[in-house]
Amino acid sequence: MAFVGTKFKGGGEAGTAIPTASMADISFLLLVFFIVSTVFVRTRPTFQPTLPLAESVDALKNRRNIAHLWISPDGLIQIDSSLVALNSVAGVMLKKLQKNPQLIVLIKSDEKTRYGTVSNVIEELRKANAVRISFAAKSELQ
Amino acid sequence: MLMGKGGMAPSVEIPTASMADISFLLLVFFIVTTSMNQDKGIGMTLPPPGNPMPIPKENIASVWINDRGDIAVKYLGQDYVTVTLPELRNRIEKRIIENPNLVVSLLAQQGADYKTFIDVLDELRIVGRQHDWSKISIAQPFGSAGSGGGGPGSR
Repeated sequence: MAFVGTKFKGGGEAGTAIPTASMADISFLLLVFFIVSTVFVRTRPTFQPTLPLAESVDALKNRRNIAHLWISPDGLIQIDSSLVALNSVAGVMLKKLQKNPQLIVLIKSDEKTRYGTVSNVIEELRKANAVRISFAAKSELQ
Repeated sequence: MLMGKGGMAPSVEIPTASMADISFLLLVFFIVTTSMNQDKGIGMTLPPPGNPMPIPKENIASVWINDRGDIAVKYLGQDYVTVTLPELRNRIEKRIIENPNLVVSLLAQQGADYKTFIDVLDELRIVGRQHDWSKISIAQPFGSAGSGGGGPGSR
C-alpha cells in the first residue's frame, strides 16, 4: 500500500475537479423520495371552512386513509369531491369503506355550523360503520 | 459527417452528461408539487351501530351545551351547574382523580355552535391527557333520530 501511495504521489498530478459522476445518483435518490411522497389526489371544497382552534390536536399521518368531509355553515355536506345530501352520506361512506377499511373520516366543519348538522352527519357515519373519525381543527399552539 | 466516418471510430456510448439535468428537472417538479402540511384533528372512535353499552349511572358526568353556548355540568343526584371553560376543566379534573372510570357524556343541543362543542371537547381531552383518561362520549342531542351514542374517545 505504501508503495502504491508513493507511486501515486510521484507519478500523477492531484486532480482538482469535483467529481460529478454521482450527482445523477443523488438527484435520482431525491427524485424517488419526492415521487413516493407525493399524493396527487387533492380535493378542494366548494367552500372554505374556518376551522375551530384546539389545543389537543393530533396529526393524521397516513394521507391515503383519509376521507375528507366538509360541512359548510349552511349545512352543505361535501365528501371528497362531491356534494352529497345528508341521507346519502351513509351510502357514500359504505362504498369508501369497502375500498379501504382503514378509512378515517376527517370532519372539516366550519366553526359556525350548528351542532345539529354535525351530529346528524356523525349519526350517518355510524350507520355506515365509519367509526374512525377526526374533527379537523387548527392547532392553537402555533 | 464525412470526416467523422473516415477519421475515427464512431462513439457507441450513450451520453450521460445531461442525465443529472433531467433528473434535477423532475426533482424540482416533484418538490414543488409535494405539499408537506399535515391534516390535524381531534381523533375519536365512534361506537359501532347498535345498542349503546350500559354504563353505571354513578360513573356518568353529563356536560351540556345549550343553544346559546352556555356550558353546564351535572352528576348523579345533583343539579346542573353552569360553568365556564376553565371551571369545567377543574371540575372534571377533580372527578377524574376521584373516579378514573368516569365517563363524560357530552350533550350539545342542535342549535349550539360547532366551535363551542370543539372547545369543550378539547378541554376534556387536555384534562384527559394529563391523567391518561379518554372516556368521552358524544350523546345525540334531543329531538334527533339517533338515541344515545358516542363512545370512548381514542387516538
